[in-house]
Parts: sequence; C-alpha cells; structure tokens
Amino acid sequence: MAETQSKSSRDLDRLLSQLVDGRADADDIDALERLLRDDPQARRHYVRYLDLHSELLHHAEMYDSAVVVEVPPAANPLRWFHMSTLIAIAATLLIAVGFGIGSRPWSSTIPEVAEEGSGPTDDGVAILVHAVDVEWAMNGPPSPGSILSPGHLNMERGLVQIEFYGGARLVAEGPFDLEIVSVNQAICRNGKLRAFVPLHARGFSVLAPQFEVVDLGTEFGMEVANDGQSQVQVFSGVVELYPPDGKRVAEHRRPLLSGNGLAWSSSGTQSDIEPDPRSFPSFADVRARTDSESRRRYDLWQAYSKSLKDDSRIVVHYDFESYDSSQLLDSGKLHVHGSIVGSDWSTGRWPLKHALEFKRPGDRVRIDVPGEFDTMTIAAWIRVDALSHRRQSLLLTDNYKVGHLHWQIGRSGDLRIGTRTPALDHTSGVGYGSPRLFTPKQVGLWNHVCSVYDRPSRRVRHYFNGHEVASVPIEFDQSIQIGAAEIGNWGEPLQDRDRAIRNFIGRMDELSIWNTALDSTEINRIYHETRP
Amino acid sequence: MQMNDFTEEFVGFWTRHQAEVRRYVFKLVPRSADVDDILQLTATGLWKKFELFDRDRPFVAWAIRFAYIEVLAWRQRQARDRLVFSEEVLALVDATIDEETPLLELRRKELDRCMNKLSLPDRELIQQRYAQRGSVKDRAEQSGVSHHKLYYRIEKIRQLLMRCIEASMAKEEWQNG
Repeated sequence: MAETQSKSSRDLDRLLSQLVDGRADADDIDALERLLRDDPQARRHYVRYLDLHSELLHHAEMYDSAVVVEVPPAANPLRWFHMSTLIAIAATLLIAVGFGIGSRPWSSTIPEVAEEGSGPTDDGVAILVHAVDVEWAMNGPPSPGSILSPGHLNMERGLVQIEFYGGARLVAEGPFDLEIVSVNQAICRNGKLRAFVPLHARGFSVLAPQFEVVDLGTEFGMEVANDGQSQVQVFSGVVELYPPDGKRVAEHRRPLLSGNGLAWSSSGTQSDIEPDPRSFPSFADVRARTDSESRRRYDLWQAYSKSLKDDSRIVVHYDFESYDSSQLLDSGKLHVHGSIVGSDWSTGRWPLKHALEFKRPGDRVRIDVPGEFDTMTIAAWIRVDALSHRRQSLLLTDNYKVGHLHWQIGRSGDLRIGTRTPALDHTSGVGYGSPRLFTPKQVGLWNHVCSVYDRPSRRVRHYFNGHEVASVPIEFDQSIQIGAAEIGNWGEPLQDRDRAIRNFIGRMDELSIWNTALDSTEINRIYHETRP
Repeated sequence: MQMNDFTEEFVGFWTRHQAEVRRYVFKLVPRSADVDDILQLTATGLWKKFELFDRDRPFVAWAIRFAYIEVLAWRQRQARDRLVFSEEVLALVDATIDEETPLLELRRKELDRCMNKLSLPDRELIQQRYAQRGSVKDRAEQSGVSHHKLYYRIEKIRQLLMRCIEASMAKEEWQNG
C-alpha cells in the first residue's frame, strides 16, 4: 500500500517527532491517543517509527560507547540501568566463583588454524567495510568494500572496520597482524581492536597468543603487544576466556563481565585492570575519519575534473555532476550533452558525488560524438552491481558498422573493445579483450576502467584501476568512430538480428574520452587522483 | 569451584534480550527515564520468578508479558497529570507490536543502508542528535541556525529514513499492509 503524504500522515509524523524528541505536551499526547485508538494504520506507523528511533539510539550507543560510559549515571539512565543490573549480578557471580588470579599461566602457542586452506580461494568470510589512512604491510592489500577470504591482514598504520559474515564487527588500529579464519573467528598476533558482537553473532572468537576470547554478545576491546603482553576489556555484555589451544575445555573457562578487564604480562601472569573504552578505536572514529577522507578525496577529484576543461585532448567529459533529470552534461568544449532515458540519479564514489544507476533493460544515455579517430582513450568509473552471462554495454555505437566502437564488459567479466572491419564478412567483427577482471568479489565496488586504441602503434591496451592488464595487437589497420551511441545500452542493433540485451547493470559516475593514446604513467596518475 | 549456573543462565538470557524488552517498553511508554524504571522492576521480577521459566519457550515472550504487567502497574501509580496513554490504547499498541515484530527485525537491517543514502550533512546531524554528545541546542548555537529549524530537519530525516525502509521492504515483498 503506497503511502501518500496526506495531511493526517503529516500531522502524525509531526506528533511522533515531537514525542521522541521530548517536546510533546498534553495536547499532543491527547491527539496521539485519539489517532492510535481509531486508526490501525496509524498504530502500525507509530510502532515502526518508535522502533526506528530505538534503533537509532542503539546505533549511537554502539558507535559511541566510549563517550557514553563516562557520562554520570543520572544523565544516562539507559547505560546506568544496564551496568547496575549486570554489576549487581556480576558481584554475586564473582563471590560464587572465586577463581584465583594468575594461578594458571596458559600456554603460549597459537594453533595454526588456517594453515590448510592457505591457497587462493573464493570463499569470502568477511567484508572490509572501511580502511582509512592505511599503510599496508602486505602484497595485494584489499580495498575498502572488498570481500575478505581467510588469510592474513598486516597493516603498518591506519584504521579498518571489518564485518564478519557471522555478524561480528571489528575496528582495528594499525600496526596489526590479524588473521581472518572464518565467518566467526580471527587470530590477533599483534594489534589493538574493538569488537562489537550482536546477538546473531554470539560465539564470535578471537585467538591471541595467551588466550581465546569467546564473545557471548555485545562489546569488548583487546590488545596484543609485540612482546606478548596483552589485555582484554569488556565494555558491555559477557565474554568467556579460554586457554589459546582452541579446545575450549569447560573447566578452564573464565567468564569476564561488563566493566571488567584482565591483563597478561609477557610471562603469562594475569592481573585485573580497569576497562578504559576510550583507549580503543571506536566505530565513531572510523566513521568520522572515513567521512573526512571521503571529503578530501572528493575535493581532489573536483580539482582533477576542473583541470580537464583546459585539456585540449578531451573529446567529451561527463562528470555526472549536473544532476539534471533529463540531460547528462558534457563539460568538454564540444558540449555533446547526452539524453538520459530511464536511469535514475544515485550516489557515486563518495556520498557527495552523483552517479547514474543503470538497472532496467531500457535504461540508457543517448549521445552523439562527432569525429574519426586514429588514437583514442576512453575511461570510466563504474560500479558493476550484477554479473550476467552476457555482455554489458559501457558505450556502444547504435549500429555496428565498419569502424564503429563497441566498449563493453564481456561474457567472462573481461573488458573489451570491438569494432567492425571491412576485411571481415558482414556478420562478425573483431574484438580485443582483457583477461577476466570482474568476478563476484568486484560486484558493488567502484572500479576505474580504461581502454586505449592506438592505431599508429597498432595496439589496444586495457587498464584496470590504473594498471595495464592487457596489450593486444590491432589486426586491421583502421580508424574508429562513435557517432550516435549509447552509454549503458545498445540502441539499434543490426537490422537482421533480434535485439540482444546488452544493458549495463550498475552505476557510472564519470566517463571521459581523449583523442590521443594516454600512456601508462598518465592513466595511473588519473586513477590515483580520482579513486574513492 | 562450580559456577552458579542458574545465575549465569539468567545473566545470559537478560544480556541477550534486554534490548528487545527495552524496545518493547519504549513503544508503550516513550520516555527513556520511565522506561528505565520499568525495566529495572521487570528485571527484578524476572530474576525472582526465573525458576518458573519454561525453557522450551522463548525468553523474550516471557519477559515481555512481565514488562506489560509492569507498564500497567506503573501507569496506575502515575498521577493524572502525567503524559500517558490510556489502558485501551496500551492494549491496542501491545497487539500491534505483536503483529509487527517479525517485520521490525527486517526493517532494522535496512537502516544501515538507508543511513548511507542520506547526504553527509543530514547524516552528521542525525548522528549528533542520537550520540548525546552535543545537544541539538548546542549545535543550533554553533551553527547559528535556530533549533526549531534543526528539529524540523531531524523530523524530515527520520521521514526520509522511514520512507527508504518502506521502499526496501516493498521491494523485498515483505510488505503485508
């Protein structure tokens, strides 16, 4: 049932907003009482609205518990309640248990849990949600948004947020040596992290040289220093500590309740410590730093984008920033504006950047680019949202005649340039493809794709995120042209064929064409100045 | 050196489910301070009666019945001038929560995605509103915008989030209304 914004629903929203912001007076409550009594739809809306409010509070608490804990009890009754009840019960538990501190130094070997599956695998177990100001100490580091398979993550400095498929979230601050083991387990050999473990992820565990932490829901921090000194602090909920043998023998189990902490010296002696949530990186830190990094990146891109206005080699440059519902503006000198058909505006590489979303088979942008080219560089920032077992158009000329450019993602996830050539018969063309670039792991990530057509040196080169991934000889010596064409679709295929579906499924937030063959250095520079 | 299993079990149940019980109580008594009182009483009551808890049934459902009784008792104790709903409306809302609960869980999962769809200034404003770090009034003073305007914007942002969640739910065909 579509909800129209009628006067009564506006009134209800106003009342609800005043209610949750603590600004409702007796008249407002009376009005709300009547609405809730008489209208089942209003009751449902009320329940959903208050649930949203609760969830926003819950989120803020989760992101911000470091701040919340230091608020005096009276000013923050919610936290106070939670803590006081738990502390009261915890006191009972401690008396009942009475375990001896430091009585049994645990062994300090870490089982090589992930050794067996160390070969490359496609089995993702977690997502690297954010990575800010990072300096990795590893080959082929993951980019933000990537899926992580079991394996090591080594970082010199920076801040990352990782979400395990099992539901647990981690914020870790470099330097660290972290190994992702499974959807529900990690090993921390060195570093500092904060884990938030929602109900669904109960049982999430982190192994350290001197112990294993098994979370029973909610939040803890831990730190492992190079010399083996380590500590665990529980900010809310309960964790269980076990010896680091991974066996979790019940009689060696030790519960650690909210508001408690335990430290190990390098020789394994244990001592109680006061938890200090502020000494651990928080989700709020990650968000704040991600936001400011994203602003900085967006500004950098704007400067780059502006510099193209004076670049005489530019044929067209669509910056996707005009946000016009019908036109895609070309900021180049030719003003080859495009007509948007179907596609909706959406968010691009950064929250502030606009993008067009291509989803339905009809979505497209129609353009008409004059000229014939011996050399051409075509580049775009795209986010592929689905892999299909067919081609997906990035830019295809309406027809497919001699010299017409077809730039697309191939069936196997490759990047390819195709064209028709007079030397061939009339039913086929010639294609220059890259190896497979788009795998399920790339879905939903922003990638820079760039292809160079270089007739004088008889080469087609493809670039992926600034790196050359293919260099293919041109078989037939000819120029290329675009003319009437479509971004994200195929306008008028050959008359003697059924209309093949070629639509792009994803987002695009920049497309540029140069009338020259840019070299590897420049393409790499462009990537680095414009990456998310 | 045996752990008190009974206590440990209760702590486990309550730790896992108190957020859910809190959400429930808040919908009947939408004022944080009152909710805390009611939850405190509920927890004490549950703890005393925990031996009667049937392990084959969900803890949350059991706890929520207790909480409802505490809400009604709390309402009785309130003076006439307090801003509270009538018993009739409390019963109607209680029934609606019961119907909506499966959907609410799904809706919460959409929130993160919908937060990311907000513009950066909107996201910052709503985070500040909920983070309790700075009050809306402080923000109004800093930015020179009247706090009425900020409250109005916050109201709009919540509407945007509601609509975004509705849209996702409609897409997922979870909508049953």
